[in-house]
Amino acid sequence: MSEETLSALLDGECSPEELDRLLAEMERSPQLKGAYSRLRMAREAAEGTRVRKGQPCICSGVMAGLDEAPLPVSDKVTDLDSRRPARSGRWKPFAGFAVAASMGAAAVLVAMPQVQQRGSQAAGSFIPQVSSPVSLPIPVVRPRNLQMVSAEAEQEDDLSGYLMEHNSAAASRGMGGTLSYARFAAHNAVYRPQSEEQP
Amino acid sequence: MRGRALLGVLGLALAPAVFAADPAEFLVRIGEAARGSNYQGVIIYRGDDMLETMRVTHRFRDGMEHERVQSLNGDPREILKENNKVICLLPKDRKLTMNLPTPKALFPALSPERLQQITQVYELRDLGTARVAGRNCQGLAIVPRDQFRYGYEIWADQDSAVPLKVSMIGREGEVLEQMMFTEIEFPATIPDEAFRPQLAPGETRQVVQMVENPPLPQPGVVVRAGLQLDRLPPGYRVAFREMRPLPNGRGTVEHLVLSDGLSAISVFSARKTGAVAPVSQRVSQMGTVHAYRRQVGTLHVTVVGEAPQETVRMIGDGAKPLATAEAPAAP
Repeated sequence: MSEETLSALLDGECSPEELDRLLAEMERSPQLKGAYSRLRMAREAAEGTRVRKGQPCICSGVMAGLDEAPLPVSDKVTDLDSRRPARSGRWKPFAGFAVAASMGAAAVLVAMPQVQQRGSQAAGSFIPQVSSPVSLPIPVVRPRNLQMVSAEAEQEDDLSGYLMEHNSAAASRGMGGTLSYARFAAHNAVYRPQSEEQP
Repeated sequence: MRGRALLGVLGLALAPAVFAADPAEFLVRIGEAARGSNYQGVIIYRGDDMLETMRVTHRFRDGMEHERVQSLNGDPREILKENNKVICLLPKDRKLTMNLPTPKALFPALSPERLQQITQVYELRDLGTARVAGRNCQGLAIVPRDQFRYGYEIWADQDSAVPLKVSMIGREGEVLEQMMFTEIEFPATIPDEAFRPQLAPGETRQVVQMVENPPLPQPGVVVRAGLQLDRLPPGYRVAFREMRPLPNGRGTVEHLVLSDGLSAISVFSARKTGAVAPVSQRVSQMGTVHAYRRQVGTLHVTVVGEAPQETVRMIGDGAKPLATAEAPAAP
C-alpha cells in the first residue's frame, strides 16, 4: 500500500470502492493502520488546526484564556491566517476525545505564556465556548530560545499522544472509571496547564 | 384471602432483589446489567464546562452486544459498537473501524478479584431509593477511603440494575462529572434496523477516526524495564505493562497502567535518542484527568490518570530509572 493511497484517504479523494478496500485492509493490518496514523498526525502537525464553528473543544478554553489575558506589549501584530499557506476550503475535521486531546498540543502551545501570566486564576475558571472561527493576533516577538520552543512543542505532542493512549489502554481493559463511556461519546476535552516548575 | 396473601408473598419473592444483597453484589450486578440488557433512551452528560445529549440504543442478543450512540447536539455524530468493533460515523459517510478503542459499557464488568481490590480502597454505601428518568432506582455510593482517588454515586434501576445516573465525586463532595438518563425503556427485543446509521452518504462534512490504537510492540525490540515506581498510592497495582518504540526511531517508551479496580493511571517513561531537551516539570488538567511529567535522569516520565493531582504527582515523584533489571511480568 503506497503512501499516496493513504494520502488520498486522508484527503477524502478515494472512491467508495477504494475506501471500503482500504478500510478492510487496515482492519487486517496493524502496520498499515499505524502508517495511516503516523501520516495523519504528521499532516495535522504540518497543516495546523482550525476551529469548527460551535464545536466545544480545547480551543474554547484556550481562546477564552487568551481573550482575558493581557498581551505582551508589542507594536506589531500579525493575523494568523495570513501566515498560513493557502489550503482547500475543506476544514480538517476533529472529533472525539482523542482528537480534542491531540488538538491540545497546538492549542496549549499558543496559550501557555498568557495563562502562566494569569497565575492561579486561570485554573478552575469558567471557560465559555467559541462561537465562530477565530484568527488570533500574534504578537511578533523574538523567542528567547528557538530550541526551547521546539522542545516544548514536542513535549506537548508527547503528552497528547499519551492521553490518547491512556484512554485507549484503560478503556479497552474496562478500567478508567464509570464515566469514560459518556465522556468518550460526548468528546469532552478541556486541557489546561495548571502549574509549572523548573526541573 | 389466604390465596391473595400467598400470591403477594410469592410476588415479593419473585421481584428482582436488586439491592437486597450487599452493596458489593449490587455493584457486580450493575456491571452485568449495563452489558447484558436491552435498553434505549436519552443520556445527558455533564463534564467540566460542557453539556451533551445523546441517544443510546443497546442490545444484547445471542451473546452479542450491539450499541448505537447518537449525538443530539451540534453536528450529527454516531458511534456504532458490535462487541469490540467500533465504528465512528460523522457526516459525509466516512467510517473507520478500530479494534479496542472505546470504553466497554456504561459500567465496567467486575470480577470477584477486582471487586475485592475495590473494596479495599473504597467503601460501598447504600444511598436508598430515588427516581431517575421516571424509574425507581437504588443508590450506591463508592466512597474512597483515602485522598488518592475520586468517588462515585450510582443510581441503578431497581428492576434491571442498569445504571441510570452516575456521578464522579470530588474530595469536597462536589460533582465533577455526571451522566444521567432522562428517559429510558427496556424493550424485550430491539430490531436490527435500530442499529443502522441515519447519516446519509454524501452529506456535507467530513469524518475522521476518533481514537488511534496504540502502536503494537514490534518484534526485534528489546523489552527491558526502564522504570521503577517507589511510591504507589494504596490499592494501585500494575495491570498492564509494555515497551514499544517511539515513532521515527526516536527511542523507546515503556507504558504501565496502574489500577485500583475502578480508576486507571498510566505511567509512560520515554528514553529518547539523539539530542533531547530537558522536560519541564509540570501538572496539567483535562477535565478530571491530571497529567504530571518530569525528567528522571535520562527518562522522560509522564503520569496520566483520572485521579487527583496529588496522586499523579506522588507516582511521578516516586519514579526512578532501573538500569539493568528485566521487566517483571504484569500480575
